[in-house]
Amino acid sequence: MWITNRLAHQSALASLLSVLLGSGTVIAEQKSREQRIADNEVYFSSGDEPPSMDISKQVDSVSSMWLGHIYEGLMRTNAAGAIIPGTAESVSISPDKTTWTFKIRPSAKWQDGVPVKAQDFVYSWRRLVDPAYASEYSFIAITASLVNADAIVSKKLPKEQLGVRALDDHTLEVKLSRPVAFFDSLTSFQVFYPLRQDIVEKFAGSFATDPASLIGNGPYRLARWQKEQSMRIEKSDTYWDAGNIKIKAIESPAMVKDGQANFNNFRTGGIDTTGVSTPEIIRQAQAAKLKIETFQTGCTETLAFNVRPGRLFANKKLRHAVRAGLNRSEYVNKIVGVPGYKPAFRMVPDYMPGSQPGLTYRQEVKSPPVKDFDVPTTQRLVKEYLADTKQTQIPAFTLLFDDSVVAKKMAEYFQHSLSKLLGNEVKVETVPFKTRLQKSRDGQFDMVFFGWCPDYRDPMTFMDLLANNNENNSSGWSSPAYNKLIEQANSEADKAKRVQLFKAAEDILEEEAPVAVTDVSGGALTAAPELKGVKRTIFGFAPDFRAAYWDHK
Amino acid sequence: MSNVLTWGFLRYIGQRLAMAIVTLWALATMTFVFMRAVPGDPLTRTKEIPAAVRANLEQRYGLNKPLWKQYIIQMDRMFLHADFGESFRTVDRSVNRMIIENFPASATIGIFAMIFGTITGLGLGIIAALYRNSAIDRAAMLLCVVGIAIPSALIAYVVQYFLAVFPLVKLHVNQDYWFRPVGWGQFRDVILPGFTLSLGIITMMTRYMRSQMVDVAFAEFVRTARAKGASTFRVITLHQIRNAILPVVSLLGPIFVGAISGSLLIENVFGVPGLGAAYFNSISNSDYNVLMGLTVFYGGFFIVINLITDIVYGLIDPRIRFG
Amino acid sequence: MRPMPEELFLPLGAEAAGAEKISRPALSYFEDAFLRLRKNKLAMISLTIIGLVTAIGTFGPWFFPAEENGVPYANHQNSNDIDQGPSWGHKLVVVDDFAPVPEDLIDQAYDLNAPLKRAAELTPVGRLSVAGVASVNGVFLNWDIEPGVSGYMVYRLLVPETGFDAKELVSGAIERGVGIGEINSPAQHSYNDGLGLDPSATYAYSVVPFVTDPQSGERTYAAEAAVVQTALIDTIKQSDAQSIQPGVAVGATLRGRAHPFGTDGLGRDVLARMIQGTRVDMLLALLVPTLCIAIGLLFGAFSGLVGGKVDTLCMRIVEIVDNFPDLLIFIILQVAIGKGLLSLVIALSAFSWAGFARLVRGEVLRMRELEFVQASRLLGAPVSRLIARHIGPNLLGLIIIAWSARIPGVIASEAFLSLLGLGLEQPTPSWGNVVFDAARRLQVNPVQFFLPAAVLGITLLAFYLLGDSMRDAFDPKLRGRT
Repeated sequence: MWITNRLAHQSALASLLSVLLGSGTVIAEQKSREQRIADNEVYFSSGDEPPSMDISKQVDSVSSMWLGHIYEGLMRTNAAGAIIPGTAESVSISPDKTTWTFKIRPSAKWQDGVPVKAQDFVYSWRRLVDPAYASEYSFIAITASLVNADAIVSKKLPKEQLGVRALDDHTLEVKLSRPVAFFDSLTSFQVFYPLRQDIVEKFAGSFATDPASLIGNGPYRLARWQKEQSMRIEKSDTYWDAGNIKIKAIESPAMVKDGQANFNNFRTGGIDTTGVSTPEIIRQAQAAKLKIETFQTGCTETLAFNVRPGRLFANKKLRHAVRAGLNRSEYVNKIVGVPGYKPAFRMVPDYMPGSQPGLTYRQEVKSPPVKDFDVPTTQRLVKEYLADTKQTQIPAFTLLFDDSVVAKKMAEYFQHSLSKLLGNEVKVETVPFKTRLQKSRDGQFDMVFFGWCPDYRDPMTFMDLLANNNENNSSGWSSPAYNKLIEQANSEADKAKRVQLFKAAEDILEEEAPVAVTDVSGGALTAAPELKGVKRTIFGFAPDFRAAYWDHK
Repeated sequence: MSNVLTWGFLRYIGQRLAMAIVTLWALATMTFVFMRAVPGDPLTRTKEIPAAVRANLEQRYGLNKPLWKQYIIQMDRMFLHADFGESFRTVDRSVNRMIIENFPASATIGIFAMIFGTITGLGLGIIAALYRNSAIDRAAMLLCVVGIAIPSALIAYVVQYFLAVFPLVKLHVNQDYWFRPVGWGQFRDVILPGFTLSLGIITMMTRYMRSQMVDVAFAEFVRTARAKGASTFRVITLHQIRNAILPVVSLLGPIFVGAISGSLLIENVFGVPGLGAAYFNSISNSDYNVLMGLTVFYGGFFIVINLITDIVYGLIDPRIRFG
Repeated sequence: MRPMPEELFLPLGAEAAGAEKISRPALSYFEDAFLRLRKNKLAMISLTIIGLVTAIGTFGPWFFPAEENGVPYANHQNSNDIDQGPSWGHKLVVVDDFAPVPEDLIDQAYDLNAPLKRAAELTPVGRLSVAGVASVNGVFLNWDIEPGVSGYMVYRLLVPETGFDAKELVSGAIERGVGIGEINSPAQHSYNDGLGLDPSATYAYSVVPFVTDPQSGERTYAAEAAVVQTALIDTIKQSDAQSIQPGVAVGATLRGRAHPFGTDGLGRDVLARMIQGTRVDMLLALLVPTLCIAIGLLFGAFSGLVGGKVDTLCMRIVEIVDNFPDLLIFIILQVAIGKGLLSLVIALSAFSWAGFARLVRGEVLRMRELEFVQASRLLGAPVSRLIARHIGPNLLGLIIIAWSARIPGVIASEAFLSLLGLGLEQPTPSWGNVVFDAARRLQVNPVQFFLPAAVLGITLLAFYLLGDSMRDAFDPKLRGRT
């Protein structure tokens, strides 16, 4: 077959041999848990194969997790999820909050011993917004309001005009086009890690594809990467804070997505920690008396109404009726059935920080509690709606859902419970993921299940979802008053005033009900009893092994 | 055998190979058309990519060109340069690399399943046919039904649970059980996924072999052989099996390609670093190049295997001539 | 020796009329086949099983409890009876359908800016107790506010039947179980747990206060926990109870419905879903293989008989069909004509006839060369006669085998497609989606998996055995040899 000739050239003998010998590739013997404890190593399952290890190219939970251990940004998240200095030892912010000056640690080094310079950040950030490089995540630079990022991405200015420059080897100056209160949390994000121009250019097309071409500045360096099979990172001695890193090596001996398979592997000692992601696995873990820890993943999940004119849910009363009557407690506890999920009633989740330290946004604005499963209110509103529209029954409507196994179960639950609540026929349309996105963008639905995960540590990440310029606002809802409040919050430097603006905007949502919030997402994990300090935080990557250790009793 | 290396035979091979390329091209064209008919494209995301960024990406991947131009570029790259292009998802890995790195694992369990399944299936089929309607025959049937009744993905869980997690038979290596629920790199890791995959093959082989054996058992040449006083063993091996196996050989090609093309669920459950997940993801992510590349790769493989099957068939069946 | 009479040795003489007389009724090919099929005990058992399953599938749903506002029993969800093993009905306490979810006890007067305690000063919370009735709908825990903490962590342990030492749980000597609740405010002194509760279980709850360092965000937990233990009562919603015992009041007890196969993740009866699903699967099992074989037979026979260039072209088409990514077809069909039986039938048959076409073509090619076909051809028989008299009947065995062999594949494919969300519209049950759903409970409760799997297996075995027997019956060479 001449088509495969080229493939054959490269690997004919190797693959033939490995096929005949019955192994994809030869790897080191895996250690037993006793050995791992003795050697300070942790095995876990990273799930999927990381699609890319190039920091500016691909952002997803798996790549972020590995890159988070290999690189370090200007700031970093600590074990509790707070922002603390990382590669930068200090930061000074101008009074108008638009100029941020970072001092790079003199002790910060790349894994080949070369010191980390301010220029490395400049290079990396310019590469991110370079239209020729076309990173999908260049929009994060626009979100961060780096000066000229927008114009560079749309090819109106050269990339050298980006609002970031090195004042000297250890001083980085960042200029923002508006005050961005959460910019420090953004700098701990993957795409803002530094990159070495010489390494990127040396390897060009094969950059970050194997241990030789991937040199980071973080606590671990890549030791092995067998595609779709295994990955291993080992502690780097060049890291400035290496003294506080306890685990010597972190390995994913297999890239397995299936939760039950991973749990089985954990039970037989193949890995040291794994997610407990379905009600079935939780029951097994509970029966086996395993330690189960919960964590939040922090996405707000909603049923979004299609409020476009002519649609059923253009009627506000009906939206309120659905929102009031949802039994979130039953949904979260019995249907989702995974600890860590919490019923929620409002767009901004309860963990979002407010303007004062120690208080969350929710505590600060003192939102009154909302009654879950408020059936009398629903019944009253439905009666009013039927009287207003002179109907005897609510017309049938369609729920739009993904076709994943989990989403199908939810769809059937909502179909049944909404039909019971409203006394009408509810249809379900489950379609492939991309079709669902396309349909909800085109407004071809009545109600769609829709989750939104935060990009940064500020209520804005949720609030601007329903602003009119947002492509992701599938409900079709728009309110000039709301847009104005969001715009004001965007340019407001005073944190306390912003919180009040958000509260005012949230009140509009409360009144208009374009979406019915159901819950905020979470998860649970189990780990070997001796393994301590593995963290999962909402911002930043998960699991985070930087503070992990084996408790040698 | 003397009929093999003739000009006619070589011409036949040549024609078949030329035809193969036309077939592949037709397959690729159909895939292209259908692929683009699915809603959404590789750049559709949960969080919509801003227009300017999207324009840059479309330019980089050539998605902004008219469809016919994209078609010509893709065909040219595939057929004239043996390059399947880059993946939209695993952005640093070309489809060629993906095949080189992950096809061996899929092929390994496929080959294991093939060998194990064929031998077991043929053996079971022969025994079932020789002892027709006996307890052995029924037992073989029952096994077959288990093999087909429950989708292999479900069997995978059962196999993993009863052989590796809480093994019914406890074999040990050091302190671990011999079978690992998840893992890759040692020979033992091939067995569970390979076995799971082989159940379908065993089923098919047993059924066809049994039915062929029964057919042949009453053929004249068998009766003649018996009448001539050939021993039962000789009749079974030389006459019955040899003749019964012929039609079964033609099944091997498609079965082989089916076995090595990677099973999403089996690979997923046992942690086999194969191509199954890539193939499935390419469809759900509209990853045009991966889907196209793998379709053409497996298609080519299939055609070659089919050709080989036909040649082998010709070699063992003297009634067929190439020309 | 007795003398033999002479007349015994007289010749009988030829009777022209009687010579050609057939003393038994003539049997056509099919009559003969059916006669032999009827004699085959296994075939009859299989046929009975298939008949029984079809009958249950067709008439079974009529015997289900009455539908409730348009929702058939098989789709009826019962949130009080989720994920339960097989049972013949439990004693249940009737509860209100719309019982309000208890509101969290939050002390609005509590000063959130109050100074935090030091880690060493943390003590267990006081007066931890369960309020009201503990059931799968919720266990409402409450305790006294602990001033100066940042929040509370609530753990839940499944109490083993052998019991355990509560002191060990207080001191944390044993794992406290699932960390179900994390309360980030000291003012909230209650927690309503409803997470995947099992009505037959007893749970031990521990509440541990913690303080969070405002700078580092590091958390310190109290060393000891307050512990409370509670057993759950088994409940049923009033609306569900009405259909068992009309007019039943809240608080009464009654015996619930039997669930011989258990219930699924939404509290639906698995047996009812299996029965309801039979219709779809039987239809698919009959329709799809027949379609596949009809297409494959036509295509393969045409290709093999005509031969030459046409044959080559046909085989290339078969190769394309065989290699086309069929998932792509399924997705496009779903988008084009929507979900449902029609698109499933088209999807399952449109691209899976290729293997059969290849098989038929091979057989036809082989048979074309056989002596009796050659002889017939020499005698001048037209192609139609060759097909009808020689090749056709000889293909019959192959067709029947292929047909019955395809059935399990169809049911498995349907299952696989519904796993990928490309199957029937929801919540229509089918065997495929019921068994796949049950597979997830394999490690929780194997019986729940093996029961539906056994039904599936036995039915398919029946199809398989029937196919084999039919093939034997239709093969005249095997007459009198079985």
